[in-house]
Amino acid sequence: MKLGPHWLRERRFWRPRAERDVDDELAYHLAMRAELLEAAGLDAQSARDAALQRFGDLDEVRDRCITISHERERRMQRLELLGSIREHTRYAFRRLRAAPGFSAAVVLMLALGIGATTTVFGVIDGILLRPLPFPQSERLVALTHTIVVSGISKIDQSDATFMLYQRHATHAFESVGAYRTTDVNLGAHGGEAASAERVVAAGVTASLFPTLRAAPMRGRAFGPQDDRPGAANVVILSSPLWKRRFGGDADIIGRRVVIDGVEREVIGVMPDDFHFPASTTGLWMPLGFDPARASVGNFNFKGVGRLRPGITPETGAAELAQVLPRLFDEFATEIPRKMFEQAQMKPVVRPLRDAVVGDVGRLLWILLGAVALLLLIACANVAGLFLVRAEGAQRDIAIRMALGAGRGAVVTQYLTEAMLLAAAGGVAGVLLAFAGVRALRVSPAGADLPRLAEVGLDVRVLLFAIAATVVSALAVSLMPVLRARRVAPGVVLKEASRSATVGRERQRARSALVIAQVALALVLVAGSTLMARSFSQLRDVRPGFDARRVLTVRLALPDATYPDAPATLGFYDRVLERIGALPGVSSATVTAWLPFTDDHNDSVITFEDQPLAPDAVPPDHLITFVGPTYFGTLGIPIVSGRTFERPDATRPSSEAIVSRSFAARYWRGQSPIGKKIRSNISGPWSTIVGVVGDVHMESLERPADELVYFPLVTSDRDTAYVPTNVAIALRTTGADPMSLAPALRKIMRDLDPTLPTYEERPMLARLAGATARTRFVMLMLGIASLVALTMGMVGLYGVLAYGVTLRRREIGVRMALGATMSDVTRMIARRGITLAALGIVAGLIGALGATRLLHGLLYGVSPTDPTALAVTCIVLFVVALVASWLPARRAAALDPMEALRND
Amino acid sequence: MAKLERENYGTIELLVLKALSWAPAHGFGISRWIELVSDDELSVQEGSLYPALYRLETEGWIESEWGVSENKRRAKFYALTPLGRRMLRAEESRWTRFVATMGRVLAATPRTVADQAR
Repeated sequence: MKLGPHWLRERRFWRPRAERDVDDELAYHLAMRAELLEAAGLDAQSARDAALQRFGDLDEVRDRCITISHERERRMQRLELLGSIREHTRYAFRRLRAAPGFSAAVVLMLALGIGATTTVFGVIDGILLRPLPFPQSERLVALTHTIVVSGISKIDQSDATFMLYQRHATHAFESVGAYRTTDVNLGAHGGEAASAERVVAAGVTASLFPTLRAAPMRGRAFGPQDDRPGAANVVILSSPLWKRRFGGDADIIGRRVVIDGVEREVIGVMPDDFHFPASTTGLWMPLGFDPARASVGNFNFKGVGRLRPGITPETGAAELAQVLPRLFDEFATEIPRKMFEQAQMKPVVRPLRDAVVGDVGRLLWILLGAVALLLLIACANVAGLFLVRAEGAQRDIAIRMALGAGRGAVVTQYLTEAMLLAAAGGVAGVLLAFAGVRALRVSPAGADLPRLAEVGLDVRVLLFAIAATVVSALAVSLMPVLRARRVAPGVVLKEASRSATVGRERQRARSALVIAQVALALVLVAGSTLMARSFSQLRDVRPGFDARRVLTVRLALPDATYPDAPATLGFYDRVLERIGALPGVSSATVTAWLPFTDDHNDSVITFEDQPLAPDAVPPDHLITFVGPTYFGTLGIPIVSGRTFERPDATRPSSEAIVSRSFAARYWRGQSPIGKKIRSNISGPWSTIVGVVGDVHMESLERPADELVYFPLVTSDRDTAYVPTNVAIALRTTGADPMSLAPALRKIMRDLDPTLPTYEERPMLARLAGATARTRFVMLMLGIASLVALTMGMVGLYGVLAYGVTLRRREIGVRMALGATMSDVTRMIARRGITLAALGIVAGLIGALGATRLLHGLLYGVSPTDPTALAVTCIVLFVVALVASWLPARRAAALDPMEALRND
Repeated sequence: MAKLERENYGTIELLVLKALSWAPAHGFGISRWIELVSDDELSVQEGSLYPALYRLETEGWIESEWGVSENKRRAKFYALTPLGRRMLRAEESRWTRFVATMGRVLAATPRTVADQAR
């Protein structure tokens, strides 16, 4: 039944106004038309029907009119809202401009807090949160193994295991690739000495780039024809290297370059943003695995895989575990099968991003916590400032309210001011963050953070900054807003301009804020004190050698120019002879592995007098190859026995030297001199001729390594072997070892101009690298603590100074009644110390909980170390005293007559 | 009788504006005026008048006010705004131009077309 005017009229009162109006209007029209028709002769009912007919579809017209009506209403509401916002903003702007000191202080503090937080979040976002920059990177995984062998628990891939997986693990994996990082000598065509340089490179299988789904931006990637043994030598360059070294030459494809003495053709250039395996990688070469000569037991390669859609890492690992036993069926090796099984190698598949990021996550989240605390302190400080300002504006607000402004208007005013200031602080903070991230990228304060090249300010980081800004604005305006709701205009207008009662209430709120600031600052200071103690403990660890006055440099002799042992050793002899002849050099040596160099050499060790159980797995230890002068040059004490004899390239030596802890482990109490060991499960033995002091090779936090030293010339399957990738160390008599660097460089150039040297630095610098991460955290926390302390001090000063102003009459009275200046000073100072003490107690409770989070980063110090906490409390106490001193003195300097007369 | 129920901008709006240019009126009055002035040639579907009125009001070309009609009933009266008056003049000239152009096109003979083609 269609709606008629009658029906419309009846239901009028229950509908919203817009609909009512429309109904009334349409009803009128229909009624008028019906009347006309009646006057023309129709009866009432037919007139109504005809009117309805002429009208058309009543429902449709009604709906359309109502829709248009609503739209109009909405638009007007929006305009009103915009207008109101504009008014509030303009008013707030005017008020803030009239108080430049206040505004500047607030913007500065918020900028510091928001800037610091955004910077750290930006770093976290780039390193921890963002997926790797490859398509569908969540399916990329790192392939490693766990192993049960004395001395090591994790290993990577050998070319045999990799080829095995590549052949058979096709159900779970779309593709797999392998790589190995190395350093190479890059000479220009013709090999001029001046342009030879050392470049970080990676050997990769042809399948690696397709696995990552990365392709060169110029030229082509490696194909199977490049990755075979005996294939033509090719290389792919990175974009930074291409631009820096070859000037971005457009004809780079096809050009030939000399790498490690071997000529290679450039077949491609990778895009600018491709950083794999590291941002320093400059070029890639094919690995050329040869199944016929695969080495089962040398796990020198890292594996990467791409899982098929829907396959989990666990499923992938299961398939690899299923495939692994076929290793012995498909590859020939001397390692007995049972030994392999005893080692219980198990494949491990985990997301590639986790492998790349490593253990730096904890450090970064702690830093974020620290700067978040800083932001809280800044907000507390600003909230206090807002409270003071609100007090000053009380009369103004009371008048406005008396004139009709609702409570909502007042609240909106506070919020608008807070938002404006916070927005300004936020913008400044983002600019700070921009600079901060830039600075971090250029010089990461020594800590080698992975993926740092990918860190930047993107949308997510900006959203974070906006969120931080909004939260800050709400936090700082919370208290004044809550107070505003309780203001009764009548009371305020009647009172004297500065009422003691209301002022004291505000003081309580501000005092609470100051206590909170002190507590938060204490947590930060406690954290940085603990890190400082860690750092000093770490520095106190004796590395086992004397790093002072030692200059080091690394070099690698290419096979092409130094094809055998006599050639290599001859070079070393000539270099050492010339270095020895330099004035100011007391000794020099050659070694395959300097402590705290990013290298790692280990091997299984077997003992003649402690034979292995059948098919048991021999222990794994760090080994290195050194010249006879090594221990003397590095200041490593010879505990018993002697050092190596002079190396002779024609007669490989069968000597060995072990570190003290190694001897203690295997021959407790007895002397190991004369015992025989070897770095293999079969073959000739080496005789131990000496025991030397323990040395930390890789880390100061872990105990000293149990190390085995071999001489420079050893035998390797019937030929003499001399390591070609070595470091030269020399001890100087003068204080600055770097002063000999030019002379050293000249010697190297004279002897072989095509051989570049690299990492020329004092041994002390290498040692400093061991403490780099701890120092980085300590620095960051220290800076945050300093800023927090400053803010806390300013906050405390503010409260006390204002308190003095409030209590002027009281002080005047006291002084008139006989209180001395020192009495007054003590009174004010006591208040300051009480506030600080409350804050310290609260902070201690917080710190006891919070410092637990540091436990992964601390060394030699427990998170609740009493000394550190005591120092922290003392520091805060002193700061509180300093902050109280000025107001106390001002109070004491009050003239009682003035104080009593005014007000 | 030619029925005009154009949905988009055009005829109905022009008629409404013209109707109101004489004096304010309510919706029914406008409908009657169109009937009378066109000698019943233009019979606008009465219902489609109202959405047009609401649209014009949203644009700000007309404004409305509730008032009392001649027979003491509550009715909504519309009137032209200054903007509406200007737009009316613009729409009128547009319409006359359109009519003139259509006339020229319809009067074109094959010979004139052929002349142009040469």
